[in-house]
Amino acid sequence: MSASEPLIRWDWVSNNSSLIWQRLVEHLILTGIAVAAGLLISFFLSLLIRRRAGLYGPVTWATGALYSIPSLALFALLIPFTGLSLLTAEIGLVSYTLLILTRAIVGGLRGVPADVRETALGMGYTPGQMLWRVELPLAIPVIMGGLRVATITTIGLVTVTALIGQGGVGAFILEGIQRFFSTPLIVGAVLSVLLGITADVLLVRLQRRITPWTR
Amino acid sequence: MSLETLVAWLADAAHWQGSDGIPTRVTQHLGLSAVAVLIATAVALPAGILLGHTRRGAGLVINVANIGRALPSLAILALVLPVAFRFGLGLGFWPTVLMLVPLGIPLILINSYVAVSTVDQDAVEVARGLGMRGSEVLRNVELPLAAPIIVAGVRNAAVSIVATATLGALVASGGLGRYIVDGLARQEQERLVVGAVLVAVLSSATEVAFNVAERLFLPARLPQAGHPDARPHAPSTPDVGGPPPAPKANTDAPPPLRPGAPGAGAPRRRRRAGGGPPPRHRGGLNRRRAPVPARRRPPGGPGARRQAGPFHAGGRGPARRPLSSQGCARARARLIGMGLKPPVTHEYSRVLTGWSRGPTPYVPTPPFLTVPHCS
Repeated sequence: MSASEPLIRWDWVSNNSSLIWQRLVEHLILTGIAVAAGLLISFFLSLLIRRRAGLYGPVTWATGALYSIPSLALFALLIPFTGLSLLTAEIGLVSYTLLILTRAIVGGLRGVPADVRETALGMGYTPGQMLWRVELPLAIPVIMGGLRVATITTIGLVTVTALIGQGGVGAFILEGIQRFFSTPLIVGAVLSVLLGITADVLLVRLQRRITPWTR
Repeated sequence: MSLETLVAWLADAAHWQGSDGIPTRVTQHLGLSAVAVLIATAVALPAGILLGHTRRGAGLVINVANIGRALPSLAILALVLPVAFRFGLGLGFWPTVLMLVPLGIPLILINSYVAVSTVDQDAVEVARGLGMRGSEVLRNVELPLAAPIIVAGVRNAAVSIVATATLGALVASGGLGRYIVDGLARQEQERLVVGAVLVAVLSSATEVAFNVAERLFLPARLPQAGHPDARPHAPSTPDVGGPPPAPKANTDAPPPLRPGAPGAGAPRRRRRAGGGPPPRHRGGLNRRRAPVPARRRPPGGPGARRQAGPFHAGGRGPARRPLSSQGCARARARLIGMGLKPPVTHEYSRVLTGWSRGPTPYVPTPPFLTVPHCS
């Protein structure tokens, strides 16, 4: 990174376009798995909490404890058990989504007005029907808020998994730091930011589409 | 790696001294984090408070927060590194600090903005109607009410910063990240695990330290303020919420505690166990409203909140005259009573702002709330 060297060398970018594409896809896959698994787990946790409200405290405490472990430290701690694998990365990534998503789902479900619930009961909805047809649709805006935060956070954290041999575009950042070469550094950084913003915009669009009544 | 080798590693005196010893690394880690937290606070706190006070720039704050969330720390580090090099800041300390500051700014900014701008409008209205100037409203009403959430923002920022300072090791900074990065590089798992555990402990300790400091230095809440009839007269303390006969003067003394209530320094959770009616506004969707004093509106008249007028334009107006002692008592009761409402209860904003790591934050009553121009 001498002073004469340009910050970004476009020939490197064009030479490596296929690699860049491949890492982007890898990044998306890592994020997708993590958010999907996180959503699934949080959904079940929320259903448990819905049934027994007393579980909310312990669950938020446990997921909050997971959330507060630094990412690098968590990955480092998992290496002795699961090695430098996809599993290590995903365990870490999933555990960071749990707090955000569980809180969002529980918050959304609790935010359903009591009279709506009562009306649904009065109309003869069973508890299961009520959950799927009344409560969840009404909770979508709040859940989507949590999902957006979780997705953006995960996209950012995926870059850190480059240290354990995964990492999508984070691998470029690491490479740039290790080789003192600013081009991959900037490419990786810009791509991960763009990815986060794009995902956020897409999720907002999705939310608009699936909640037409809020418009 | 087994537990024995780990213990042996920890017991090795060589790992406890010198430039790569545990104390040195912990100190470096804390130093890095402290500088970053201070810079982030210095930038974001005044900005958030001022924007919240004027209730302007919500879009700006939300955008900064969203962009800040979308920026991965590793990406910031990557972007900062060439810049730091150009400006001759070198590797290590400054690139790491420059990476950490943008991490803290959005957290502090959005919390202080949300905290100050969502302070109960009625309390602000009453304060303005009493003739407080903008700065007085900020100092006497908005800041005390907003303090817990503002502190929560700084706390979240500090915890994130301590946790993320680990990444600085990638650019040759000191701190505990060294153990993790070196442990990975040398395939030395003891080093790695020790580093990881220490970082986790340090970031949890930061959170605990903030919580303890909050309990010690932030005012405790007043259980029955704003509910004059429920509280027996306490002659040794200024009568804050009592019916007439009214208080004698402005006072900076702390408000009276309910008899039998634990002292101000006691853990706030205890309060719940005390006798009497349950404290108001414990959060949740169906918290109960306590009775409010009979006169609901300040001298500004009903509906005066958003109107431009002598009372509200600049905070200066005809109300800058001494109030009757009865009026003062009512005003105090009203202001303090208002203060017990959590500024943001909606779960969605909790998700967005991320300020509630624990249960619903409590909101203290300002103990130093004084009503100006009361004779």
